[in-house]
Amino acid sequence: MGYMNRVKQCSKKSLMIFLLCFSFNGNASNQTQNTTTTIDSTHYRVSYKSRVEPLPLNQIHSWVLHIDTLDGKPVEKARVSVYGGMPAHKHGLPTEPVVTELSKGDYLVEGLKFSMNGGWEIWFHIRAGNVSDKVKFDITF
Amino acid sequence: MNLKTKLKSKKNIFYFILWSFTFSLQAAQETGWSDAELAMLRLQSIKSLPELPPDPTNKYADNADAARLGHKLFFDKRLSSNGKVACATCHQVEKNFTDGLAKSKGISETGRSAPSIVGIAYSPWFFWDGRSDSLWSQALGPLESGVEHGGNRSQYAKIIYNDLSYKKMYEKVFGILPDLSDIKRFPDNAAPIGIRKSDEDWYAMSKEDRKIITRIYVNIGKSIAAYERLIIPGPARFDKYVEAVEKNDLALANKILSVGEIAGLKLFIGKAMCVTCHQGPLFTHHGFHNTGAPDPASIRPKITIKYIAKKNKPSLDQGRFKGILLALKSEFNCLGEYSDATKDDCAELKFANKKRDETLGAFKVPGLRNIVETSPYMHAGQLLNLAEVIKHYNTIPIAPIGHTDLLAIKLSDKELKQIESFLHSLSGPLAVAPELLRAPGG
Repeated sequence: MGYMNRVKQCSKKSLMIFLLCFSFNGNASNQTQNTTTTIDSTHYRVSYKSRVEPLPLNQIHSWVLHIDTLDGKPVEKARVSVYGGMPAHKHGLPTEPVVTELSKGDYLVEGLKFSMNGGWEIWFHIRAGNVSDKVKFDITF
Repeated sequence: MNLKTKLKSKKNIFYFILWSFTFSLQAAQETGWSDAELAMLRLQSIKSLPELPPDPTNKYADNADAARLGHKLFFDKRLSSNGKVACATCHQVEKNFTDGLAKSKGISETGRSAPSIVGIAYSPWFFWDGRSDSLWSQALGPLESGVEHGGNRSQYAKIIYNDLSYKKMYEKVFGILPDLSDIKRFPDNAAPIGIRKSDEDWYAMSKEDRKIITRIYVNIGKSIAAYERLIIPGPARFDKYVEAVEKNDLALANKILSVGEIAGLKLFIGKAMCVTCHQGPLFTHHGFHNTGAPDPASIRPKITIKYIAKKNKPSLDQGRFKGILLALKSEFNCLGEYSDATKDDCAELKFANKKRDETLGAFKVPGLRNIVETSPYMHAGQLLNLAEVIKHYNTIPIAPIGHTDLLAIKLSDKELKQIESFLHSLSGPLAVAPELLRAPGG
């Protein structure tokens, strides 16, 4: 085995160890790493930005949701509903968030709360004109 | 970058990673806790308890004179229909502000077990079902409940008005009391409490006079809340253990908690997942869950069950499902005219989950500090001791109403005992001035 290959293998192993350490330390902080995430669904490119950073545990807060078409045009006058919960615990959100349109593809999501550690899913059902779609964001505390 | 520099850089990264990993392992070996676990212990420690959150619904919440008045009212048995029931009847200091009963007893037996009020001011919701969204509105509920204090707002307003000591204390905080001496304008027992005579007298009063009485009644609640905000937990053995571990003083740490208690703590924040809901320095996230607690009727003696089945089987406790509906229509909620809050302060109420499927049979997650002093357990004292409670969580019985949120944890008998041992380490003296833990002048 050549030196470079050995280094590569060694690096791969150490990277694995590093990632393991990192993911464990990530849990220790009890916070999600991202307060902004973008996801493409079949019809829309959707991103959210929390108005409280870092994403708070057990505190009611708001997000600004931005919706574009896949070719980058802001989606206006969409009907957006939100639901979600903790699939592992078979329960939904502790609150009933409300979505209102701001402007130029921005929507205000008020009343979000993540009450406990673990994996959460937040789904947005978006309907603009005749096109409806849904996107899911995974949040882990 | 040439090949030599590339190799050197990769080598450095490798050494750094190796060092980080070794350091992490070393920390775990030294304390017995990984970095992740240590972070969790810190979050649970009493040192993480923040300053008391403000109560925008009660502008007297942190008023010392209001707290003095509330302290006196809390222990006053005249605030009842028979002169024998005070707040302190069910919230007894020596039982960590509970009463040791499965179903608390005021004028008669109630439907639930009195929860502790220690650290309660940190919660956004009150009662087992969260039917109040402020501490002062919670205090008003039992005062007019027929099975608890059994009295009414006119009676209580007149106690304040006729007792010179109360009158002086009240006026210092809330201003001059209106003249309540005209018995025709202000009957002795008028209140909207579902008792015919009281209701008739109440609605015979003018709207303005009803507001005068209700305002005094609300201020009684706000004073009691100001007192209750001062009832805060203090450091327990668990907190001293975390402090010793953080200082890396393992010899001291191992003297503070036993091997079994440490093992129980490890399970509590790990495999057993207790910390998922019992999180934070008060060991609660203040939310609501259906944990499938047994139907109180099912654990009564058989003869009683037969009797109930034949006569009139009580309906199952719907918990939060009913609680949030009551909170929303309460005249004393965050958005009501007696609240000092602005609309923006009422997010918990505004966005509360009302979905039947999510709230049916759910009850508030209690804090666990001083938990050994508050048996029996669950919302109606269905489980007699901590061993029964932990076993309940390990077996995940089918919920008598709604569906349970519990997950299978499958602990051995030894592990169940270790968790129980750990819970004993959460007891400690309250961080409260001693004179507040007895009746004023008592």
